[in-house]
Parts: sequence; structure tokens; C-alpha cells
Amino acid sequence: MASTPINLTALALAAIERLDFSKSGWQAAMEKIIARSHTAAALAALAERGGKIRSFFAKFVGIHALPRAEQKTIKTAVQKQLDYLKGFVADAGGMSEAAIKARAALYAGAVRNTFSQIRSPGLPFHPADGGTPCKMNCKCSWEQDGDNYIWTLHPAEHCDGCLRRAAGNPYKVS
Amino acid sequence: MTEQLSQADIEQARKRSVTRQDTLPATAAAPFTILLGPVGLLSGIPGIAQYGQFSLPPQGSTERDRLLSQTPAFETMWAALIFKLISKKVAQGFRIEDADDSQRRIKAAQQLILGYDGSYASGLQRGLQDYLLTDMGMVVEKARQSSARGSKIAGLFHLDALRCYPTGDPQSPIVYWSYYGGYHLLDAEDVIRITDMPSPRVELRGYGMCAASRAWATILKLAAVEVYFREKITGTRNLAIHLVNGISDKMLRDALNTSEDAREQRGFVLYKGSTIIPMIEMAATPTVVTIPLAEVPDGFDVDEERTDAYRRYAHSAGANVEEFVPAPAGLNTGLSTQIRDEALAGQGMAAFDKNWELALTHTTLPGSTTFFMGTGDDWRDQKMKADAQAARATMLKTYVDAGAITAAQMLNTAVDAGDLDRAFLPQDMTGSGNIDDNEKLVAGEQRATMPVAPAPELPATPVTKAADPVDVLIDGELAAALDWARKALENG
Repeated sequence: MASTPINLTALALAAIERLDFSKSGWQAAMEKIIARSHTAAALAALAERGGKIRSFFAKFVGIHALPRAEQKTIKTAVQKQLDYLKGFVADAGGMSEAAIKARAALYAGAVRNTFSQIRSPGLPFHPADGGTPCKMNCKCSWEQDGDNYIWTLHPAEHCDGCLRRAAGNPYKVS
Repeated sequence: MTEQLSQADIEQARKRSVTRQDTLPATAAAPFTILLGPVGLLSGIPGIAQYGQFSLPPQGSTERDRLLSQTPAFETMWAALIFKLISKKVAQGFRIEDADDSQRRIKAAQQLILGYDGSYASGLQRGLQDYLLTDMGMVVEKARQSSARGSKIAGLFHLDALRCYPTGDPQSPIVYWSYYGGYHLLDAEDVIRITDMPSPRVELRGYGMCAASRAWATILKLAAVEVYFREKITGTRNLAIHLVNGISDKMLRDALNTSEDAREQRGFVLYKGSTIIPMIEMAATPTVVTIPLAEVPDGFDVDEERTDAYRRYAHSAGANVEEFVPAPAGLNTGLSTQIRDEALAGQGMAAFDKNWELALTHTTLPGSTTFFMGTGDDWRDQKMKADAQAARATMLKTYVDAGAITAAQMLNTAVDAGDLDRAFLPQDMTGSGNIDDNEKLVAGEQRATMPVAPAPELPATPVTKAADPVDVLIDGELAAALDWARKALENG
């Protein structure tokens, strides 16, 4: 189950890596990638949760096929990333191309948060929500076991924040 | 957490009503009055006038309900009808919807209702028997997690109608007498009572007229017919005396006693339901005169009487008459059945459905959750619904083609009619909405009061001067996002 957010992150990262940050117009391209990746995360999460029909209808009537709560989640996530992007663009003038690429790559990780919020609503926190030192690099995910949700540490080096979250297992939807 | 119908609001309104002086408050700490028996001649008159010595105890008495609840044991066909009605209701099932699509609330509501009296099927069967067979009606307790007012409902439990007594106090309407003793005063928010045809009389404190009450005369008649034929066939009772020539009183009494003793001496003999007095005067030509002790009236047609009785049973209980009395063969029988089914949709047990739905939706479940009887899977309902939707779509398309309305207005109309999900609508452009009795507004939303505005054309990629740039961005990337989502899921 955890592979879907990984795949989404990979798709976003691949698109970001194809950008040419030396040319103007990369901000608009980044904005599109952000919107695309977070919307894709929402659609995939909804489909996994059992909302395949709504995902299908989104083809014809747009984002309004999704429940209002999910529409709001997508919009909030995209807006937040766009706000970060403005700061990034403002700082980019004094950064090397390698630094710009590295910083741009971080935007791919935020997709996991959107996916998790929609896939498992009602939980107190989510991966890559900025509440742990690993921030967008968080490799954890929620695994469901009946009514219990387990903060799962996938093979990686984990920060103290994620370790503390794992120590509080299991969690329940509030 | 909940947006249930507030009992406090109702009580506030009652303080403004003249009916506030119809009752005395009932409290557990002070003596309270419960309705134990008849409330005057008024309640007894209909029974005496109609049924004479076979009248029911007066309406509003536990004795009456006790008798009515036993009627399935009196007459087989009545028992069969009750069985069929209850089976249908249980098989109908239920469904739960939540305006916010909250899976958690839907599951919690489902668990609560499935646990009704231990099991929904069992609880509903018990409750429906009280609804159909007692004037008190079906009583359900809402047991709460704590004694705090408005605390979470832990479970729903069936209460025996014969152990429930109405107090007349709307705030504490029911007293329950539990099996091992102890009276329990129940608050209005802790109990659901569904009564068939509740009496408008204040004195009767909500007692109604159940199906068994309505069918009582017919049950009696049919039971008597069955008993008569049974006794005639089995010879367990002397039904007639056949006389040959004259007889004196003494001889008649002796003959009856003799025949009873003789029968008992000889044991049970079939087809012996008569007593025969031998000739007294050998010289007279034998003649036979029959004195009937019990018989059906002249011209009595058993089949016709039974058919009429079954028809009355069905009407009394709100069942489909044709299930008990086959319709005569003829043209368009299928159509007439369909018409009758549609007419039945608003009759009889449909009132129970509505009461049960409203009680659970508005006084038991959370604000955005709605309970419906039936699963909506009846193919006839779905076909009729689809036919109606198709006709509506054709009509709307005609208007759009003629230029009378725009595509956006067509979409709005389809959403308002329930043909399409409200989520498809970017912005409801129609005026004030309406709401059915068993419907919830989406939590947090006010009733639609926006004025009718000219609807914009629906472009393929909607862009308007006032559109949110984030919305535009998201809509613009939607096609690519769908592709990414598909790839991510496929490779998962």
C-alpha cells in the first residue's frame, strides 16, 4: 500500500528534474507540477479509499467530482506549496543551480502528505506535514490494521520526531 | 457534536402553548400518574356498541392490549398476515447516508442500529408486533453512556409495550416496569414511541388504534367460523338435536345429558355431533325436526366470508390486498398490480417506515447522518427512477437545444432533481431550496438563499475573470493528474 505515495513522489521528482532552472519560466512550470502532483495524490488516495467512481467522473466535470472536503485539502496543499515557491523564487537569485535543483526536489516529498490526509482522514498527523525534523523527506506512512492505524517506519534513517510518533502506536481516528 | 431535534426547543415552545395545562410534570421523586385503565365511558362505548359481549376492554387499558397482542393465536390467517408484514419489513433492510460522506459516522450509525435489542432483525420483529398488535405501540429505549443530558447513545432497546405506561407528561412520557421490579421514568429524549393512529384525545395519552383493534370484529368472526367447523367435524360439541315426533322438556334435558354421558362412555367418536331422540309414538309417521344449537346463518357462504375477512385483514393492517385475496384474472393484471403497489407506497406500513426514519434521523443519529428504510436495491424502484431521470434529461436537452436554458442551468436543474451529485455543481445558482422531512442539509451549510443569477456558459476549461487562480491551475492540470494517479496506482 505504501508504494502509491512513493510512485507519486517519483513522478513529481522526475518532472522537476526535467526542468531547466537556467531559463525563465521555471516558476510557472513548477506551479503546474505542484498542482498536478497534489491533485494526482488526492485522486489516487480517493481511489484507494474506494472512491474510484468519483475519480472517474473527475475526467468529465473536473475537480468538482470529488467530495468538498477533498477539494479543500487539495487547494490548501497547493496554495501552501505555491506560497513556499514564491519564497524559493525570491531566494533563487543567490543560489547555485545545484542548490536550486536540490531545493526544488523537496517539493516532490510534500505529495505524500496530501496523499496521506485523503487516504487516512481523521488522524492527528501525517507524513511530510512539517511537524518532524525530517520535514518533506519523511519516509514514513500510515498502515491500517482494523480500527487501528500504525505509524510505520520504512527502511531509512528516521528522525526523533518520527520515532516518537511510532512509539505512540497504535492510533485511532478521532 | 449533534444537531438533533432539541427537546429543550420543543419544551420552550410548549410553554407558549395552551396544551401546557393538559399534563402534570412527572418526576421520579414525586408521585406520578400513569394510565392504567379506561378513562371513562367514552372509551368503552364503541366496543360495547359494536361487539356486544365480545367487546374489547376500553381503549387505553393494558387489558385491551394484552388481549390484542394474543390475536395471532386466535386465528391462523391473521397470524399469517402479521408474520408476512413483519418479515417484509425485516427483509427490507436499511441504509445510512452521511451528508459529509463521513465513513466513521456511517459506520457508527450502522453499528448502533444493527445492535437494536441485540440484533436489528430481532428488535424490529419484537417492536413491530407491538406496533401492529397493541394500541400502546412500539417503544424503543435510547440507553445513554451516562446520565448527563444529551450524552452519547450507547444502544437501542425494545421495551415491552405491556410494561410501558404513558404519563401524559411530554418531558417524561413513559414509565417502564421492569420484569424483576422497579419503575423507570424515561425522559422524552431517551425513548421513541411509534403508535398507529394515536388518539387525538388528551385523556388517552397517545394510545392509538392498532391493526388488531381495527380487525378485531373480523378476527372474532373468522375464529368463530373455524371453531364451528372444527367442532362440527370432530363432534366435540353438540350442535343440533334431531327430534322424531313430539318431545317434552324433561325428555329433551335427559336426552342432552344422556348423549353427553353416552359419548363420554363410548369415548371420542368422529362425526357424532348430534343427539337423536327415538320415536315416542310408534303409531305416528316418523318425522324429524331439527333444533340447531349452533349453525351458520342461511345463505352463509364460507368462502365468500373468508375472502371478505382476508380483505378486511389486509386493509386493517395496511397490507397489499392481492397478497391475500387473488385478483380476478383479466387483462392488465400486471399493470393493476403495479398501480396498486404504487398506491400502497403511501399507505399502511409506509406510515411506520416514515415514523421510524424520522425518529432515528432527527432524534438519534448525528446531524449529518440520515437513516432510510430499504436499501434502494429494489429493481422496480431503480427502473422507475431511471425512467424518470431519462425523461427529465430528454426534456432538459430539448430546452437547451431550443436555447431556452444553458448547459449550466441544465446541470443545476439535474442536481436539484437529484439526478446528479451536488459535487458536480460549481455554484448553485437557483433560489431558495426545499427539504424533505427525512433529509439533512449538509452540515454547516445554510439553506440556499442566493438570488437567481444569469448562468455563465460552461466552457471546457472554465476561466472567468473572478476565478481563483489556484482553482484554474488545478483544473488545468487535472488531465495530467489523472494520468499520474493511474500510473501510481498501477505500479503500486
